[in-house]
Amino acid sequence: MVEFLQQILSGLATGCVYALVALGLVLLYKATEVLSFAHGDLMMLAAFIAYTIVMVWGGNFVVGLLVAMIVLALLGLVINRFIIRPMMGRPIFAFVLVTLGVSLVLRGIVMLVPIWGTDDYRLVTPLDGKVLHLGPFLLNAVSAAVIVITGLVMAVFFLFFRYTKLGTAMRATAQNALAATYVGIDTRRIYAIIWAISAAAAALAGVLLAPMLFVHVNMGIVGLNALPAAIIGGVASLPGAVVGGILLGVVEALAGYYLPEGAKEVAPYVMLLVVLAIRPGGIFPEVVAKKV
Amino acid sequence: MADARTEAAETAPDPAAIAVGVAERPAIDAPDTALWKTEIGVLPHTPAAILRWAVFAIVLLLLPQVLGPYWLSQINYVLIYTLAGMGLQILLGYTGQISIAHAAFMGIGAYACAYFERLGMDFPLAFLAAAFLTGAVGAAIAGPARRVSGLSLLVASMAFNFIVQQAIERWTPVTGGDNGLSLLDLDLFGLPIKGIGAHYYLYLGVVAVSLWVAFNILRSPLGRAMNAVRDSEVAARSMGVDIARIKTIAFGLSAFFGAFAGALYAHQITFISPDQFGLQLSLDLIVMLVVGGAGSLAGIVLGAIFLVVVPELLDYVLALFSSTGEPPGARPILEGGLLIIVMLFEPWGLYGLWLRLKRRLFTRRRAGAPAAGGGHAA
Repeated sequence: MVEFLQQILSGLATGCVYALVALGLVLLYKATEVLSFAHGDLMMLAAFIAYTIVMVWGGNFVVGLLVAMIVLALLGLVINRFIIRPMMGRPIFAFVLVTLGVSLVLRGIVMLVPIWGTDDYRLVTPLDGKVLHLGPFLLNAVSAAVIVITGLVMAVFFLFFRYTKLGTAMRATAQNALAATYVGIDTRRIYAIIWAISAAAAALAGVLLAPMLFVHVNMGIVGLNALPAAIIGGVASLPGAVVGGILLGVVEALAGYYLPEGAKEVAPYVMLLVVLAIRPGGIFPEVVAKKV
Repeated sequence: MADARTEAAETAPDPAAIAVGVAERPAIDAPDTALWKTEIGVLPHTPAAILRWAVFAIVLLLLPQVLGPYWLSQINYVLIYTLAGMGLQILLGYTGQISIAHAAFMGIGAYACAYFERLGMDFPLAFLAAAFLTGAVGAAIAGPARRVSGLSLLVASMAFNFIVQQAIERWTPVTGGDNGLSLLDLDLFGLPIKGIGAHYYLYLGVVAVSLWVAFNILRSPLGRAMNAVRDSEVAARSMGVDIARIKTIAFGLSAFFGAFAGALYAHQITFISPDQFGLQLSLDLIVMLVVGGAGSLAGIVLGAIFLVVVPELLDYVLALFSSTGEPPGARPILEGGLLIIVMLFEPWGLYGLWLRLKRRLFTRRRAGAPAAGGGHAA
């Protein structure tokens, strides 16, 4: 039993990373009906930026994190302005493909930069090697920090969407963009901000993931797992993204521990299919009435 | 607009020249006669069209005499991708089910065919058995798949693709696992198919027959019902279309032709391993449909050519610009950049580009025809 709970605990941290990426994806999808395949590589780029600041230039970890998030938010704005906005109104496949293009370009750029390339790098944090003892359980400090930071981000998100004017405007845009423009909301600006937030969330996820893995050109593949997380939670539900992400991380950890080799890789996808078979709309389904 | 529609009708024997989620559908403001014309355009019916098709057929039959083995094998890949794209088109373009699991169907088809041949079946039998098996798998996954749509379906199909790939990797006794599986030599009722030329003729035959069958299915009431499901499930149901049945058939047919493509692909490369049938191939096929454009037959073929030619082109370009070996990362940047540019500037894909070019070149020659202005529905 202790072992079981221990596995759940260690799955939590990965789950939080999935949750952060899934949050960005759901935000985008909900407001703009865009599915981004580039988010994994946004994570990867952010991890490289943080790595460069912390390990190459000897900067502070927090500074590295913040710079990575700011750079990625700007990149999100650029992607939105020059690639997504001209394509608005096109079907979802068009966005899948164009963001796939973005992801290839990002990967290419990382390979091209001489100090990055295709090698593995380690991002060392001040918390490395420290372990927390919580009763009978062990939790390494990095994972604990990831869980705490994710919790804080979620709280900020919640308060932002609930209580600020901008957050309300965003919710309005997501519900009905046309109606939102009628009441004077500048939806273009909202879309831009959403891209910035979404990319920054991916950056945060990437930098938090980096100490748990290696920094590598292909680390964006982890971002692919955020897709099932987003769907499991319910495509258009922000709390759903968080629940889906955490659930996925935990299931993955358990599958890796108890099931034979290879189960860990398919666990997110099997779980996705199981959830969809039981609840086609995900855990928190979107209620929609379709008119003919 | 009406003009563009009619021209599309002449070149693309495709009853519903509909973007595979490529772009907005063409506004159907063309007169109904244009649509009708599209339908009878499926088989060549004017002397000029028959002549054109005859010339085309002769060119296709003579290709092995003209091309070297390298380019001929590239053409073989174009044929295989065309077949795969057609299967995907049934699901995406006609029934509107957003799926990126086609590589899984190709994989099942490829492995099933290879396995059946190892059991001692003749190629035609193994080929058909593999296709029927894969079709059954496709129809089976339609059960859960029809409960979801849109983004959920897209990610669920991705999940299916991953799971199939893992299953192939783990089911070592049948699939050889990571060590892969090499294909036995091809023979057709005792007639050995050796060499790229012979393969080419076989593939050409399979593609021609499949296209003919598929297009006839799609012109039937079944095809109409598929279109109805795509355009509005609620409306289709109210007209008495059995949605579950139509979706099941669409998944089954799509998987069936996917298996054809997979089995031929296996024989073309003669060695298959699980990683060939991953998400990458599925996405490549989508790229092919969308970049090819407009969901027409011509678009699929153009997309298949694009898929085969672009890596060649990149090799050429990269060799040109760097004498000291290619710069790392240049390939993904060019690939990704190309994809972005096509998606941004040519929503109708290569086929749309071709239609526009053709209009530019030929419209002015016609007496009294005003110069065509504007793009093709773009």
